[in-house]
Formats: sequence, structure tokens, C-alpha cells
Amino acid sequence: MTYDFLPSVAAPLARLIEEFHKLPGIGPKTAQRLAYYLIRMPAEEAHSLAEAILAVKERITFCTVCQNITESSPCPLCSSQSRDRSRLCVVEEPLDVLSLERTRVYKGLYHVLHGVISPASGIGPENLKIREMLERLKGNEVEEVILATNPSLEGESTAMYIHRLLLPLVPRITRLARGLPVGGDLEYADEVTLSRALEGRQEM
Amino acid sequence: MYISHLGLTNFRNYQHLELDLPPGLLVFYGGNAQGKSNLLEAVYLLSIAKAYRATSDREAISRTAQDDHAHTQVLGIAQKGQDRVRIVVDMHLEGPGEDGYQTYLRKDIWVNGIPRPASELVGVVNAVLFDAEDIQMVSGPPAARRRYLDILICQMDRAYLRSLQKYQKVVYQRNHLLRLLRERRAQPEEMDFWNQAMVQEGVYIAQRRAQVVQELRALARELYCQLTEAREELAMEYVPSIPLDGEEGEDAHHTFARILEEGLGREVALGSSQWGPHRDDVRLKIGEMEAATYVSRGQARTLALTLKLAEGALLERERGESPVLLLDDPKNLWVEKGAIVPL
Ligand SMILES: [Zn+2]
Repeated sequence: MTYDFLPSVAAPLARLIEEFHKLPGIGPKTAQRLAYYLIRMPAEEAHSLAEAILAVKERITFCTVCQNITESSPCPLCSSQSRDRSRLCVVEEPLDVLSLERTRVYKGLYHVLHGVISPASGIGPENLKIREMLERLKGNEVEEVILATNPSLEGESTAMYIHRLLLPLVPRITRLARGLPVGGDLEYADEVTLSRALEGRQEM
Repeated sequence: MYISHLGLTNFRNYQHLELDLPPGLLVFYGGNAQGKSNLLEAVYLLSIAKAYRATSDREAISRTAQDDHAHTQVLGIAQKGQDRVRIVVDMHLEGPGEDGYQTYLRKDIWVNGIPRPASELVGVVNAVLFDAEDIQMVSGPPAARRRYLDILICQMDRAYLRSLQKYQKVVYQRNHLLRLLRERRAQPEEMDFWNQAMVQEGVYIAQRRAQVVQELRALARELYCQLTEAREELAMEYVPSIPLDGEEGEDAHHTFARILEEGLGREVALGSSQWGPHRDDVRLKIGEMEAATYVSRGQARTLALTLKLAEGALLERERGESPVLLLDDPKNLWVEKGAIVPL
């Protein structure tokens, strides 16, 4: 993208603006504002910010088992001895794991899909961590898979697609109870609602 | 029911307006561009929290309020028998939004001081608005007639509104998937869920519309007789793109599902959904004449008014109270003809 209305902006600044503009939800105006803000920022703070960004890239990775974000793989949840290894909960995003953990009701393992099937966004099953999930379930002691995708159309569509693939592999497949508001996200559900949805989960 | 008070802030050309209104027939008159239509539109906004014309809600926000992100508010007090209901629809621009370039419109609704989602506003105030553009219901494309039915049914039935919103999303996703299939970038079994959702919502929507058309038909026929001296009968029929009684002993759900299964190849080739309530129409006839093609402009206008009055009559019967009728009549077409007198 070129900025015709900024004919004399210094090259390093232009580069920073362009980088900001690549981020989700950041338009050209906001990108400019952020860049000019950073110029006035004390050097130590700027260093600390740059370091934080690098640390995320260098130290954060994806767990090879559950695909969640982690500092070490396998992640603490996957390597914990106190988790119930007969249950696997499938969620859309890493944040959903946090929401479910907050309920303290669920003691099993997780699998993070990193998205939902949405033809309009060009996201098909092959763009999700479904293959990894199927690999994981082969020769495993998992007795129940809980499909905890959001109760949106896309979440339901993903649950149905996965359900068919799981049928020959898992004895019991359940779906979170309908206590969640339709169209609502797991991420925003309070703990009580989420606990009830977990406890009232139904056979698919 | 009637609106006893209207308060406007930054709504279209009104910076601030407080207006007490009496029950009964009320006529606003005055020169062009003074904001008579805007008053009607404000009352309409209280009924479904959407602007009447398909244009964006954003246009309802006055120019200056758009510039400085000020709030636009429409306050209405509805007198329903002994009860007073206070409704506020508040809109303002927030942003920049997701794509960075655009601000987005935030809409908040309060009923008696409690925040409510738009779907719960449905049925609190019932309004029927009629303006010159409504002639499209007769001579325009099928979409205009579907819109007429959808707005009417949404005012009677919250479940219908939810179903309609869901159906629109399904069609949107499904069309994208059809195009992905055409480019061989998806597998046919990915269609199963969307077909299932389309059948579920589609049959409900089409059957509900057909049922409402049946109820409207009797009312419209009688009203049309009263409005004209014509001896021809008005006929009205819902034309679904799928057989609503099912075929070959199946129910409508099975038939629709089978049509989608058998027609997948054609839909993939065309890259869009070919069957379902988004392709339906309402056939209007006067005597033996198809209204959409053969009637005169004057007849079309009378027919459009008939449909609107039938809408009001049906709402009154369903809800046990008369809706607010809003008649925008810039050219004195109705007053002159005496059409509003029988009301
Ligand atoms: Zn893990």
C-alpha cells in the first residue's frame, strides 16, 4: 500500500506504519497514530515492546498434541498426570480452553481446532487441526469426545463434520448442552452457564 | 394503541424535537423537505428498529451527528390501553471498525428503561408505513413482495425473525460453498450441514408465509372491493420454489432435502442457491390479469394500498390492538381520492 498523502514521511516510519496496517482491525489512520505514538515513547519502553513481540514468536509454540499455545511442547495440560485421559474436549480457539478451565468442572484433555468451518471465509476442514485430532485418537484410550464448538451456525457445522469422522473411532461423542445463548461465544459465557452446559452435555 | 409522545435527537433533519401526540387520525402537512416523512420514519423505527427503506440505518443519523459521533435517539411513548411503554432507540457511530476504514453503527434499544435486543422490540409497537415507493410491491421484483411479507410476519412472530436471520446466513455460507465446490476446493459432504439447516429454516419460513398470505387474501379481497368500484376480484397466492405439501407422500422437509440433493450439480454450476424461500414470490391478480405486468399505474397504487391496509387489519386481529398506520402521501393521492376516510 502506498501513502500518497504522506509524501515526505521518513522511510523507517513508513515501514512501521505499513507493518501496523497489516494487523487485524488496524486501518491506515490507526497505523499512523500508533507509529507516531511510538516515536514519542521512551527508548526503554520501545525496547521492552519489541522484546515482548519477539518473545511471543521465539518462546511460544503450538503443543504437538493438543495444538494449544504453549511455551513447551507437550504443554503442561497434556503432560499432567492428574488429568482424565479418557475424555477429550474439542474447542475452536485457545481462549476457549481458558474459559472451560475456569469452570473447574472439566478434568479431561483438550484439542484446539484453531477455527471453524466457514465457506464464506474460505475456511474448510483442511484448514483446521482435524487431521491432528484423528491421528491423536488412533490407538488411544479416549472414551468420550466432547464437541465444544460455539453454538453458532459455523460451530454447529464444524461439530457435525467432525462427528462423522469420529463415529468409527470413539465410543461416545457428546455436544455441550444448549444452555449457551445461541450465537454466543464460549469465550463470553460465565462459569456457571458453562459448567451447566458441560454437565448437561448430550449424546450426538 | 397510539404513540402519545415522540422525542427526536439528531434524527435526520431534526436536531431536537419533543412532540405530544393525540390519539386518532393525525395529519402532518407542509411544504417539501420540512421533515414530514422523517416523523413517520421515526415512528416506524420504534416498531422494528430498522429504517423503512432498504438504505442503511446510518442515513437516519443527522449529518452533524455522523461527523462528531454524537448519539441519535428516537424516544417514543406508546399508550396501550392503561399501559404506557417507553421505547428508546439509540444509534451512534463507533469505530474505526474491523477493516480500519469504516466506522460502524451501534444500536441500543431500551424498553421501559431496560436494554433489549432488537428482536424483543418486535410486537411492542406495531406500525404499518405506506409511501409512494410501495407500488414496488405490485410492479417490482419478487424481492419487494417477500420483503412485505417478512416485515409483516416479523411483527407478529419473534421466532420468524430469528429463523429469517439464520436462513440468510445459511444461504450466504452455502453460496460460497457452492462456488468452492465448483472450483474443486471443497468436498460435497461439507454441504450436508448447510442443506440440513436450509431445509429446517426454509420450510418453516415458506410455510409461515404461505399461511399468512392465505389470511391476508380474505382481508385484501374485501378491502379492494371497498376501495374500488371495480367488479374484478383480487386474487393472491404464495408461489413457493419448493412444494410446501411435499411430493410423493413425503413431507415438505424430505421433499426439499431431495430437491437439494438432486439439484446439487445445477447449483454448483450456477454457484448459487436455486431453491428455498429466498426465491419465492406472491402472485397478485385482478380478475384474470397478472398484476405485476398488466395493471395500470393507478390500479397498482390502489393494490399496494390494499396490501398495506390488509397488513394493518391482520396485525390488529393477531395482536388484539390496532397498529399505527403511517401514510406518507406527498402528492395527496389518498386524501384526494378519499381513500383514508374509510379508516
Ligand atoms: Zn497440549
